[in-house]
Amino acid sequence: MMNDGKENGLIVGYDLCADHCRISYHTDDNEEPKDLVFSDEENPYLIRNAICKKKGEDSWIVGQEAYETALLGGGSIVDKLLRLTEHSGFASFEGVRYSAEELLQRFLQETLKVLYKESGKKTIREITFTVQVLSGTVLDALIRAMKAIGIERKRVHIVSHTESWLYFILSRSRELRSNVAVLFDLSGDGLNYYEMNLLRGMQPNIAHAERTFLEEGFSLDILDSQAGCRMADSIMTSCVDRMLKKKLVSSAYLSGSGMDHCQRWGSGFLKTLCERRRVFFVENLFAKGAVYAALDRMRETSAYPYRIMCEGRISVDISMDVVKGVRERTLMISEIGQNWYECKTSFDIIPDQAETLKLKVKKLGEKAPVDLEIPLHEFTKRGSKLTRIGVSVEFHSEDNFSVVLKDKGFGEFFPAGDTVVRRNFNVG
Amino acid sequence: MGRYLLCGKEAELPFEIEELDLRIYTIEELCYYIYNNLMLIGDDFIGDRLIDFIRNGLSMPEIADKIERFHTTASDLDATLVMLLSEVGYYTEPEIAQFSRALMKRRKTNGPERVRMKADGLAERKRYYAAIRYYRTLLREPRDGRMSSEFYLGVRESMADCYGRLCRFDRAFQTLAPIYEQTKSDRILKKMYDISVLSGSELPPVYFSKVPDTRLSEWQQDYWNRESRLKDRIRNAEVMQIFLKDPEKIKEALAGYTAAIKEEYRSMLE
Repeated sequence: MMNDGKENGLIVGYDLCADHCRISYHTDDNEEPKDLVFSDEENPYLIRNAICKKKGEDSWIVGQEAYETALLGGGSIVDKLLRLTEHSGFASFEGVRYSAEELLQRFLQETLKVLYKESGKKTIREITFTVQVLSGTVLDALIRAMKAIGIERKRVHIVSHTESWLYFILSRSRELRSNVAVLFDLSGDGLNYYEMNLLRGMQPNIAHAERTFLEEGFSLDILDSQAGCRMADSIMTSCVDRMLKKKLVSSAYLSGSGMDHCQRWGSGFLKTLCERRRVFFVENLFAKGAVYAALDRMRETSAYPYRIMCEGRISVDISMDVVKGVRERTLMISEIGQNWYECKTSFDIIPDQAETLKLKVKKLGEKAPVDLEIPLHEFTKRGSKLTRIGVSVEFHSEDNFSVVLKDKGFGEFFPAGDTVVRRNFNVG
Repeated sequence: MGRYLLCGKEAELPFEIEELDLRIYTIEELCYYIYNNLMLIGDDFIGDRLIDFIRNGLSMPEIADKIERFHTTASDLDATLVMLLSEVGYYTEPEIAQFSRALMKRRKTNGPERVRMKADGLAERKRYYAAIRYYRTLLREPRDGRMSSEFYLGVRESMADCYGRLCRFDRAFQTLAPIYEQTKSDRILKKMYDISVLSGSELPPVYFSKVPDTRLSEWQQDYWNRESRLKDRIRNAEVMQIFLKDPEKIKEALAGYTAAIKEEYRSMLE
């Protein structure tokens, strides 16, 4: 009932970082995504990734309040939930052991309760999480956690920060992305530079974005002192100089908790950045981008006539020449621009005098595909066209995929065998 | 150069070929069945049940519509079968041409020949009770003037073989006896000898008293040789190797085999 995904349900962008999260949402009533106000702290949009179990009660507190409750001795706390999930860790509260996934689920549930309360809606139509790095463990845990909360799999998607940024910028007016659009994100996770440009002259044109982790990144604690602020300003100025040199920048964005008061500590770098450029500070940028990604996914045809290429998206076309009916055709297994974690394909084939299974892999811009072959000699010989082989292709990252071939026999004429062939490929 | 046929959907509810106790789940299996069991396919094969299976079970409404149209207008089983095989693409053009030749050959056969081919096909697929039913029909019905007496003797012999395979040795012997009486064939008498030895019964003097001892010894030796070869083959068979290691599998296999025989026997009585 709670999450039956009614047509007028919420469209949520959930930015999940190592130590905090932010939520933006869209309802039919508002044009632009709204940011969830979580607390009356200095930054009301930021939710600390911490969960506290109240002593002697089955109730859970999240965010800054969790720290406060724990400090006052009201319960035990666990923070950095994302990292704990990535390491498949555990935490014990009052003698009961909880898995990181279970805690993540409770955390998500509590934060969504706040969202329901603020928005006045009780259903989710689509939720898109955005994380800095797409790790298989975290993705699986998130999907399972959402299922446990009662949100159907089809309503849950996960994208990288780079993709959120890309969708965010695509949702802006054209002149802001006619050339390069850039973003400096400074948070507890470090300093990251994002760049987005449109590769024209292709069919369809490509919207390309990438993230660069800048080693110069600094701890936000240094902003507490004047000397630290000067140092931060000088670091950022040199980063802007280096990254934007000779680039025609249509728009520059700043985001992250480190940029909250950049006008106070970064006058030098802001001056450099604003030189002949349009500069914006956007609160909850990744969460908003995730909302735009969710909105676009819900459309029958994308509002953006581009093929998306960025972190989390596959960079190769994988296909196979097959015969369907009497016609030869190319079966697309994966296409450039698909989200790798959603790219799982299964189909059955019957080899006819073929001793190997041949997949064609084509990178963007390459004219001829490369053949990847998997020998079929391990399968029981039953005569021509009498073995049905189940083929499953699954990506484990942007560049790695596995192919599993399974002997499915041939109905009741020839029972299935035990043969399973697995091959991993790297196309990076 | 090899190629890969992209398979269609697997049906949740199969199309059942009751006579063979066989379930078909895919369009490829259906084509394979048609191609390899032509003698078992009667005029009633194309019907609502098959069309519904193709349309809904396999989600191939275009092919189902085509079969329906074709069969209603032309009412030609052979042409419909060729059209189906051509549409699905499981068989190549030369294979379909070969199938068409087999259809033409079948068309030239008369009624009793078709019944016998069907019975032989069932026996080949170890559906002995069903085969016996067709053989018996041929033998009970008034003789077709076009058919020679050899044809009917052949039918009787095939029926005896089926009884033998079902370990109904008495019936097998009784079925062979009239053939021998009519033909005095040494080959038939040897079969009767084998059946007697297999069943462990004494050789009926009415048939064997006049057979020279040397001939009987030859037959006995031949029987032993064949028995020994068969035992070796069973011992070496891969499946037996598995069975010997896993007694549970033996039980399962035997239970399955018994159930199949019982099922077939029941269907014969209906």
